[in-house]
Amino acid sequence: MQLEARGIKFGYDKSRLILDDVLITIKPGERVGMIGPSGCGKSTLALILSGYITPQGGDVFLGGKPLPKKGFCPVQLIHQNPEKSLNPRIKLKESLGEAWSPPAEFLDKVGITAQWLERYPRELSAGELQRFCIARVFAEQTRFIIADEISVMLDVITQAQIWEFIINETRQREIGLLAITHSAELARKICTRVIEYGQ
Amino acid sequence: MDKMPILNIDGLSVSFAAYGKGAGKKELRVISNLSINAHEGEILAVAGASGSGKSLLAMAILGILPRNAKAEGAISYKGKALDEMLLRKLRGREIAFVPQSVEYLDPMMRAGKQVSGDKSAVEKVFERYRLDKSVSGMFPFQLSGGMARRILCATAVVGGANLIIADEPTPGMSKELATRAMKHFRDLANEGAAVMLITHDLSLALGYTDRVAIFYAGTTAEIAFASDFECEDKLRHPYTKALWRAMPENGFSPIPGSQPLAGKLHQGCLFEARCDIKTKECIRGAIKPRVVRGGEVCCLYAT
Repeated sequence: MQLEARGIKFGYDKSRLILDDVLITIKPGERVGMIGPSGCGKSTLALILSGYITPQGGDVFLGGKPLPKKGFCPVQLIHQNPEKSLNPRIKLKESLGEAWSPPAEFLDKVGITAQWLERYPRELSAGELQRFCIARVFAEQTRFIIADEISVMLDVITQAQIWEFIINETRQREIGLLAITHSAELARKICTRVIEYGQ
Repeated sequence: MDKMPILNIDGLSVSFAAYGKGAGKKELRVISNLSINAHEGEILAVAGASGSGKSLLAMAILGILPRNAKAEGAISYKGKALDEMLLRKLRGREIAFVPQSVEYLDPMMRAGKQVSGDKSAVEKVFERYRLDKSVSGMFPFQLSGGMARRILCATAVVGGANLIIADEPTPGMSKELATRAMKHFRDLANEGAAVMLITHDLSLALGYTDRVAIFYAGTTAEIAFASDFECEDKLRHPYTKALWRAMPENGFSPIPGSQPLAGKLHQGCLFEARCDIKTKECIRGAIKPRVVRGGEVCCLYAT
């Protein structure tokens, strides 16, 4: 089952398309890096691939079929800012529970301490919160993960820990990954293929 | 380094009032006994663990800590105590701030308006950051992450400040733009400003900074020269060495674990739980900074 986007067109402003006829295919178990200048539409493409916004032209296919409109989307997105993607008013345990109930060994692997589950987002650091956002997207039904600059706010040790986990887990479960980044060094370390995304 | 520093911080501690169950109130200490300074013409990078108090340090200097936070210790600007009165006079003029979150932009104000300054200065700074003229008329929600970052930087550097505190100014910018931003900070330092640059992107920052302060769990583990990062052996603290080994270009291999939570801090070395050269001495009492090969380090066994 591959993730495929064909002829994607999108513009926030009617007179200027930021995505014009974009084609991308990701195979299961593949880790694709995407590097490109600021403002060229990388994050917009991430939102389209994971079904958050509908393109103005073109289609996204998962295993030959359009993305499901209802229920769990097998293409999951991890955002750049974890503090903006978790509900500030519920405990982290509940945020995680919205997606699935990971076993204790899984939490251990992703580096979540049991005490953190009882806390609210504002009580943890960006690195700690990002682990929850990552744990969430690894629910059983997930086939593809789009990671939009997920480690820029983290120190290099936490960054390396998080990527080590994602690489192992996606490899084991044959999950396809698209990693958007500005760092060519990082992309070379984590990806099996790198796309230079131009204007 | 005999000259008077532009910014001098001596024994800064920041704690939050946290409410437990019922009426129980406790103090959560997030920065403890931190001393650091920044001189004219210098870029001081502040790096280290996420959640180690780097952004709070910036807020403490600028007097914009959240209300339930309390700062102790001395902060001075050009030898004068930086109190509320002085801050009010200098903030936004002599002391400039590049905040970490793009949410600091006013969502209802056009980007160009937020960069206050006379017209030619604003045009110049837009050109410097390669922002198209049309960006000036856009609202923040129309900007990409990288553009919003550049607007934030522009607001800080347009006025000719003496002290610039930049909290992660480059994420979301492409390599080329980030390099331009770093060059600009370097130019500003060369013209006499002191720049405190909070960053995780050491690979980018090292080429432009003079000294690097490494934070861990609310205090400095080490203050090193940027050139010390050429190889692991030149670094002093075991945590700094671990950081170095985790950089993508130096092996990308992380040590396990994470830093201790605020409120669970003991007296001794806070890195002890993850350190492989620790001894019983390490948790016996506070570890004072000492000078090793010109840099400063808080470790009993650093050589």
